[in-house]
This record gives sequence, C-alpha cells and structure tokens, in this order.
Amino acid sequence: MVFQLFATTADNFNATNNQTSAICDASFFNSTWSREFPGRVDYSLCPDTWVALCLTFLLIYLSTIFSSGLGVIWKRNSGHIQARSPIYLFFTLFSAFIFIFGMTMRFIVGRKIFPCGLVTIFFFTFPQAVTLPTIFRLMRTFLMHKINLQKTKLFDVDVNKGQVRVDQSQSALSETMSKTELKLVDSDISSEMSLTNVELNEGNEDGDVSNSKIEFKNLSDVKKEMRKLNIYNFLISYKFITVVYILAFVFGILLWVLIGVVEEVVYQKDPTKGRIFLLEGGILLFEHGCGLSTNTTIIIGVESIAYIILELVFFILCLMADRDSWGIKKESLALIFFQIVAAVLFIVCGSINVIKNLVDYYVPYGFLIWGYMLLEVIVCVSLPVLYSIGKEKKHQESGDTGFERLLKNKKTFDIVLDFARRSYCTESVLCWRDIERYKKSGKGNRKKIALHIVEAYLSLEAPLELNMPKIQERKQELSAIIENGSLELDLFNGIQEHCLHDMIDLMDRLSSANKEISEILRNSK
Amino acid sequence: MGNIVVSPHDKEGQHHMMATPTSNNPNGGSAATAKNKSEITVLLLGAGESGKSTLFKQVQFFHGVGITHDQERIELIEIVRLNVLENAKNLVAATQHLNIPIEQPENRETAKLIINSLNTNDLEDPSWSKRLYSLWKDAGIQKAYENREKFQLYDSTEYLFENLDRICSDKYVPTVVDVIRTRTKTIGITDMKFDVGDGKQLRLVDVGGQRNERRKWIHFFNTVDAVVFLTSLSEFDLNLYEDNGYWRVKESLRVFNEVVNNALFYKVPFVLLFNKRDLFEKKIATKSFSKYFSGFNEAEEKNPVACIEYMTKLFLNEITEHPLDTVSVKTLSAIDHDNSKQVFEEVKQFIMTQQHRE
Repeated sequence: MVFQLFATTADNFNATNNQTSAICDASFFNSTWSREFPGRVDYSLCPDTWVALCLTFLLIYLSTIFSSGLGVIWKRNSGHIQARSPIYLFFTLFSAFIFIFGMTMRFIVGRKIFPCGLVTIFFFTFPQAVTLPTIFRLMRTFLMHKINLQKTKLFDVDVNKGQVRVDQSQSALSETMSKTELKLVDSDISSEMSLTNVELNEGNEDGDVSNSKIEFKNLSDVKKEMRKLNIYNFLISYKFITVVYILAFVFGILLWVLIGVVEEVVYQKDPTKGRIFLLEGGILLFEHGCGLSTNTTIIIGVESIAYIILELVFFILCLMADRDSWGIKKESLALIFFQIVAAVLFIVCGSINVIKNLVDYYVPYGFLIWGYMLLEVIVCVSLPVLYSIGKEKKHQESGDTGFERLLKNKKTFDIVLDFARRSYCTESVLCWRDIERYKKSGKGNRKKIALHIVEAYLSLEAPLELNMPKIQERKQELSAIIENGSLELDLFNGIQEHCLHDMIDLMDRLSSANKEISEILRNSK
Repeated sequence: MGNIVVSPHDKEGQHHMMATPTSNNPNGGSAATAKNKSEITVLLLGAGESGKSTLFKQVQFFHGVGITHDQERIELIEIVRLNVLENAKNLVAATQHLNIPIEQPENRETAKLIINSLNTNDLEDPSWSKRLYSLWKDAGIQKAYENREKFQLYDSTEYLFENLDRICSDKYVPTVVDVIRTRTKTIGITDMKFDVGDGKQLRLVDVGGQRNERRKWIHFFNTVDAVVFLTSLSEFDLNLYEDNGYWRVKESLRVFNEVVNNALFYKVPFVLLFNKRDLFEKKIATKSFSKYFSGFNEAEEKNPVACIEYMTKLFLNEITEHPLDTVSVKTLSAIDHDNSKQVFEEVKQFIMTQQHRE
C-alpha cells in the first residue's frame, strides 16, 4: 500500500521533469530562502533552500556522540556501562554516526551536489545502521539472562542426586566463568565468605571457609551446561559482534555494487528508458546528486526485512528476561516503540506530496529517522553515562564505598586519619592505605610493601595489630604466599575489606562529629 | 597476651579529647579537662561483645542525644542492613560447615545470591523481606541456628530476621530498638558527656573489647573516676572471636582480673555488670550450664539465680587487691531500655555515693 503511494508520487515526479515545475513550490525559485537564482529543477530535484536545520542538528549530534563516547571511556568500569558493555555502546555510536553524518551532509552540501553514489551507499547500509544496535542490545539482554540462569544451574546444590565434588571440573569451570562478567567463581565465593567471620569450634583443620566445599551436579551435566554457557558467551563476545557488524556493512556495500552494476548495464543498453532504480542519477554515479525513486525504497525495504525479523525474534526473547537491574530491558523496549513510530511516520510523510515536495526542502522529513537515532544514542549511551556519574556521586559500584571515596581523597583521608588517631584506632585506616599503596606499586617494591603490611598489621602484639580473628593463621598464610613470590595485586583484598568493615564504627562516629564528612557520606548513599 | 600495663610515659590519655558529640559540646571541645572536678569519667570495660556499646547507646538515648534523633538513625540504615546480610551470610556459611543442607530449593537460590552478590542497597526492595524470611525459616538454617555456639553469630540475628518487613523497604528508618540491637564492632575509644545534675558532668567512655583493642585502654586509666566492667552471662558456651579455640568465660575472667586488680583502680568505685540476662535465661532453659562449670551443682542448672550467684562468686574470687566494699555487682539486660535505665541509674548513684565518701 505504502509503496503504491510512493509509486504515484514518483510517477508525478518523472512527469514533471522540466524547468517550470508543478511539483516544486514557487518559493524555491524566487524567494530569499532559495540557494539558486534563478532556481531550476535538475535531476528531478528542486532547488535547495538555505535553512540551516541540518547543520544545527549535525552539530548537536556530533557533540552528543563525542561527549558520550568520552563518557563511556571515562566510566568504562562503572556498573551501568559494564552491564551494557563499552564495546556495544561504541558500536551504537559508530553505526548511527555513518548514516547521520552522510545524510545530513547531503542537505548541507546541497542535494544536487552531494554525489548520488554516496547517497545510495548510505541507503544500502541504512537498515544495518538502524537495526543492529537494537538487535544486539536485545540479544545481549536475553543472553545475559540465560547465562545467569545457566550459572545458577551449574551451582545448584542437589541434595537428592549423587554428588560430585567440583574439584575435577573446577579448572575448566573457572576458565568458562572468567569469560563472563558475573563473579560466581569458586575463589570469589571463598574470598567473600572469609570475610564473614565464620569460624568453627570443631575441626579447625578443615573448618576454614577458604576450603569451602560446595557440591555440584554430575560432571556430565556440568559439562553439557558448560558447553551451552560457552556458546552464549561467544554470542555476546566482542569478536562476534564486531564480525557481524563488519559483515553486515560489507554485505550492504556488496549489494550496492551489485545492483549498481545491474542498473548500469540495463541503462547502457537503452538509455532512453531512464534508470531502473533512481530518478536521474545512478547508483554508481558520483558526478552529481540525485533523488531516490520508489524502486530504491523497495530494495532497502527488502534488505531490511531480515533485520526486522531478527529484531522481532530478539524482542520476544528479551521479554523473557526477568531481571533488569540496570534498566537495559526498559530502555530497549522504549526504543523499539520509538523506532516503529519513527519508521511509520517516515513512510507516511514520504507518501504525502506536500511534505515530500515542499516541507522536505525546509525541514527534511529524514529528521524522523535521524531524530530516532539521536534519541537512541541519548537513551542508550548518554543516559547510562549520566547514571554512572550520578551513581558515583551517590555511591560507588559495590557496597559502602562511600568510605572508600573518603579514603581515596587526600584531604578527607587526613581528616579520617586524624580522627582515628584521636580515637586510638589508626590501624585499620593505615592498613587500608598501605594495601592501596601495595596495589599501585611496581614489581620492585611490591614484596617490601607486602612484608611491611604483614609485619605491621598482622602480627600478634604489633603496635598496629588489626582487630581480626585468626590473625596468626592469616599471617602464616600470607607470609607463605609472599615467600613464594606470587604477589598478585588482589593478595590483600580480603584484609582491606576487613579494614573497611572495621571502620564502620569509626566512620559513624566521625560523621556525627564532622559535618563535611557527614555530607559526603550522605551523598554517597 | 592482652596484658594491661600502664606505661609511665604515656601521658596522652590525660589531655585527650574526643571529637564525639556530647550533650553540651557537639565537637568535644577543649574547655573541660579530665581533671576537672565537676566531671566524672566512667570507663565501660569488658571483653568483646559483652555489651559495652549497647549500654553506651542506651545511655545516649536516655539523655536525648545521638540516636534519639531521626537524622542520626537514618544514617544507620546501611549498618542495620549490613547486619542482616552478615547474619544471613554467617548462617549460610554455617550450614555448609555443619553439613546441614538448606532444604527448600528457592532458599538455596537465595543463599547463593546472599553469598555472591547481594548488597545492602538491594534490601530496599521489599521482595527481599519475603525471600530472606523464608530462608530464615528454612529447616536447615534453623538447625544451624540451634547450633550457633559452633560459629560466630550476632545476638541480634533473630530480632533482625523477624523485622525484615520493615527493614526491607525504601521508607525504612531504623527505630531506636533497631539501633540498640545492631552489632557494630567498636574499634578504639570513644566518649560522650552528659549532665547529671548538681552542675556535674558524666563522661562515659566506651572502648573496643577484643585483645588488640584492650591495649588501648591504658590511655584512659589515669583519668578514671569509676569503672563499669561488663561481662556476658550468655557466653558460657561460646568461644572467642579473636581466637576460636578459646573459651569466652575464661577470657572475661582474665580481663576482669587484670582490670580489677590494677593499682590505678584501688580507690575507684568498681561495678561488675552481668549483661545479657535475657539471653542467658533463654539459653539455660535449653542448654546445660553445669556442663561448662565442673564446680556447679547440676541440679540447680535451670535456676538462673543460682547460676548467676555461681558466676558472681567466680568473678569475685578474682579480686585480690581491690577493696570489696567499693565493688558492686548487678545483672543487666542492655537491650531492654527500662532495665538499662534503672541499672544505669543505680550505677550512677553508687558511683556518686562512693565519690562523696572520699
């Protein structure tokens, strides 16, 4: 139906291919708006106007993607950005950029000048540019949901079934797990648990939580589920989406070349019949600009179908994902709505003569699509960056890092340390700082700092001994590791967490005593 | 280990002023000194988890400072929720150690989330109230809870789980009771001053109780006018947080011995408070008291008065230097507001009379 309407307008256009146009509005020829004097119709195009909306839009658009891109890099480690994956966000920025830049430039330069070949390239890659970010966003939301489900299954403790200790499959498991962003790895469990002060009276040898034995399903089941997990992980990997993006764009360009050649061959045979696909240009024509014909629209429509189907499939799958802690599902669904609205309006506008032949020269109705793409960038990239900035102000990624912010800032650290000194509890504060130094140290210094931490804070009767259970055992364990020379940066993470935990009381007192600190802590909640 | 030795060089305590809120001087100020006669300094001493800070918070509350104000309590939301999470984590971890499976699959699911990813912000969501409560009521968790003497668990566990519907809400403001019940390990030393009439001020000093913390107590020994020593009645079946092979009662007796017989305290009124009487009475109803004390008559083990009498003797036997007529012994349930108020009033009277006698 829509295409029929299109066809009618296109026919009208063809019929009025002469100097005095019945289609083009008179204001294009003799008003001050017009770029041409005297105006004329070339290549079935009316004279352009001077209205600078495109330039303004392009500037707004460029500053949005530029600042959002910087924001993504800056906040790449924050929860909101990580959950969406910085690479995905960059692809979203990039894919809209090509299209919008190309199309707005056409209006800025002038439709008659902007090479026809370029316009067609942009149109042939348009379906990818619009749908791929959405498809991948929906796909990722769905797959992350599946991965979480799968992992929960993997760790399910099945009391009735024959249990196999995880030891055999552990290395394979952690390898798989490390590829995913969510931390459920065995070692993480143990480090988490060792913070929880659980020590037993009985059986001290195997009572330590770091050897905690959590039991799992049969090994064969585990393997099967791991294979699934591997597939999901591959599908959301950077490699996969990069390859798909490249292939999709290459495919669009190949299609452009192919159809261009066909058009050229047919045209060469009988130039009097005009172009099949374009009004008075050629797909491969770069000398001047051109307008699009209905046939072009149909080709792009057909090319889009596959993408629209994919989008639909993932849209439905995405509805199944149950948890949406980062609002990704919400924003994807909202954008789908706007995408449909924009597409429908675009087609409708394209079929209304007044819009196509008059309004379009002042305010191009392509804005419907560009506007949608700008909205997508704002909703999916800029806003998450803003959330993470806002969230950082409120509280940093995990747990009560309001404390950490106080400690990481030199000025507030000094306030904390001074207060701790007057309360006789500098050990946690100093130990936290030294572990921070350890984490930033180069290879050469690391051992020295590590030994200092163990000696100063983890030795019984040391002046700065921490308030910590089983301190001697911890010291032995850590000393052995340090002697071995395996100085991982996370070696003292558990101890540092403990220090933060011990500071709860101190920080509470400090925030009652110091307005400035209280303000910072309140804002970080 | 843990010996309390007064170093003659340590003068810091004398001029020490804390930046904690006081009833008339929010920033600790520097006007009053410890030697000021109008000021009575009372030390709250005792081993870890004997209830010093709980009593300290109660005293704040009677005097209308600190946690009395909504704003102060709002700042403690995080800490209450952290307590909930820690209790839940400890219980889940205990089920693994004690080899008691969590029975319901959905509770196992919850347990996994607790160990791996749950944080205090998540608890704003009311759905967690149901999930955590269901976990708490799981037969496996309950069985672990019955065996809680085998691992470290806060006394507040049951209370917090029973109040989850309030805590897991974005409108949650901790009540005074919530704050009193919340466990926060005290580190270092903190103090607070209250007007007690007659132009006098009472300066109450709260300290951390674990072994490393006790070394800091000496900073205050010189300036002290009275000592309130707390010990937990309900710790008879528990081991130390610092050293898991060590019986808590033995540690408390040892610390008591060191403090009460310290030369600096000979002339100082001394109060021994047997705290957690409420928990203790519940505990001896189901657990054997005589199992832990060979000298105790088994037939009397369900009688709290006899048990407390026995404990009193045990502690008083430690006193070798301090004059007995300046020692007062009382029982306390520090989480109980009225009881704390009454006992603290008695303690105050005792201290004032003793001072008057001098």
